[in-house]
Amino acid sequence: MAIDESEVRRIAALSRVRIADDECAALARDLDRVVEHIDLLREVQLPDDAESLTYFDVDVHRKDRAIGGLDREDALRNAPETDGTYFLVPKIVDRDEG
Amino acid sequence: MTALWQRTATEIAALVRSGEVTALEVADAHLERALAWNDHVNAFIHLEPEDIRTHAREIDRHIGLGHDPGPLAGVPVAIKDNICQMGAPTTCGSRMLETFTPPYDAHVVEQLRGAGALLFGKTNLDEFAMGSSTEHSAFGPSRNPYGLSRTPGGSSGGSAAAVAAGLVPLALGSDTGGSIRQPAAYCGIVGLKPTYGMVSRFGLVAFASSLDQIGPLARNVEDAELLLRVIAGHDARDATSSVRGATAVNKEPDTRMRDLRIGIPTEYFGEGLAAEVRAAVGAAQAILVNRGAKCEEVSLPLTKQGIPVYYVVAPSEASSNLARYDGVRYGLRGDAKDVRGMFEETRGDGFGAEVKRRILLGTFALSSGYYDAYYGQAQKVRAALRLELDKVFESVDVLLTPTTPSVAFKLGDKLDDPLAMYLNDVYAVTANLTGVTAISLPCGRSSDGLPIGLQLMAPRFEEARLLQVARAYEAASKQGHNWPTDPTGGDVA
Repeated sequence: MAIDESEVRRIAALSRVRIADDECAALARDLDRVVEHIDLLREVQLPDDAESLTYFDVDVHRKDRAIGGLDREDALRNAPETDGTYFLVPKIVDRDEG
Repeated sequence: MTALWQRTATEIAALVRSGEVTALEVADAHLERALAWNDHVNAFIHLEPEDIRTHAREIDRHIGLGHDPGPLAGVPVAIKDNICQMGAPTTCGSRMLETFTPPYDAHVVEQLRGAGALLFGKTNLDEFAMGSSTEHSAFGPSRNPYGLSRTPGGSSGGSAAAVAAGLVPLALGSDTGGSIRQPAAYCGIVGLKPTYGMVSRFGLVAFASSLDQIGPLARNVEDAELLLRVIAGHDARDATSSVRGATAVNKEPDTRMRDLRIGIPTEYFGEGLAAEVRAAVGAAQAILVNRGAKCEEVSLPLTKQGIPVYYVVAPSEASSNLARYDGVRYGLRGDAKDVRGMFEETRGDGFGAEVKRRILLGTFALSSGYYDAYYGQAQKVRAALRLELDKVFESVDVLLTPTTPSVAFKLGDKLDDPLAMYLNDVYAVTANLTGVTAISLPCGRSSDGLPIGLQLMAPRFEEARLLQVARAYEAASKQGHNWPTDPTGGDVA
């Protein structure tokens, strides 16, 4: 079994997604079945020099130059909390972690 | 007289440009139908009649001043709700973005405005386009106009249902692993996935960026082509937008029907294909042979790996793209004392079950210790698949396959079995993984009266050839659009 409940909790923490206790068992069951299916990939014989794709056929390269973005009012309009100038979030630095 | 809502987009544009009909009359005819039908099919999740009428009056005023509004003059076009339209809600079918109103237009929406189209509401989809039935929408599933207990397909199911039922003649969808073609097949209409890079993704809410492509849904090939010509072309705001798009869609087809070589990939006709679908696709093949095309069996062994590759690549990209939903800049915010807790609460509350599954799956495939075995290997198999397909296209002009293994399934049938839902995309994902163009065309109906889809695939930037074959099939099959029975008890065409 590739994915059990403890693995679900590990990847949920990496993903920053809270998983309720009653979701965990179902996620483990569903993801385990999917991973079992995608494991078919590991059996594919590819030549030793098989390359992965560099995506995609990009044929126009733009200059590395800043272009106009949203103005501040538009950028803040959809935010859950602002002071009119910045996005506001809960305190970031945790005292225990220094 | 044919009602306005039954007209094709091409006909409506001609009527509006010539002044025979006003854009407002077009708007009202479609609004009347959309408002009556939407309670039954839930195709639209945002429909603002007054905004639509106001826009129609602007188009009419423009014409009144002697201007040509463009090739889509007054044509109602529905927009999948993962495509940004300035000032209109863009929810992606998610609680996460329930309150989000984009401050800008997607490139395709700018193009629609420039072509004189009537922007006609936002259509339902699986949350963030992740699904094959619209059952993963936070706003309830859409229903198939040919059987209200069935799915219209997904993720662009709202767009497909709206076009099939005559609520609009045209709609935009997005196709990451079949999300235009599968609903087109289930709803008996035309759906085209353009070559990757042909249509700008600017303003399309990202799901899996190396696979996503916006494309048209229509009731006939001519209309699909009309919309494609409007939205195709280079846009510097999408780094993968190609300069080849605009020329490719406008070039003359390069093949005569009697010289056409059609490849029939054996892997698409194996176990799991419903007998009625097999028979209908076989009959479609016979029609093209009758027109002079030559068919040969070809083999694409790596397409058997399509679903495993797709379900590593797409969730991996999604897990990265959806990291932006953190409760800071837009959308839902969960309540917590610290910022990490806020991220976790926001994402725990805002995402539905399928989106969580995919984010977790992608995070798993990219996580330390698993990356090479899953993501790295999937990228290699993807590259090999692309080489394999390119090789086959050296000996045939197009490929002919079913779009889906079966007709539209019943709502609820696959909801508790994610893997069964994923396997529904088995014939679709190869086009996304390799970047080629593909179209689904209606090719008959099952004994239950449900539409069946035929898929044609052509090499990258060979839309002209794809559309030529599609038109030839459409003309020879002599199938007009089959209007669904009206659930409102109103007029039946």
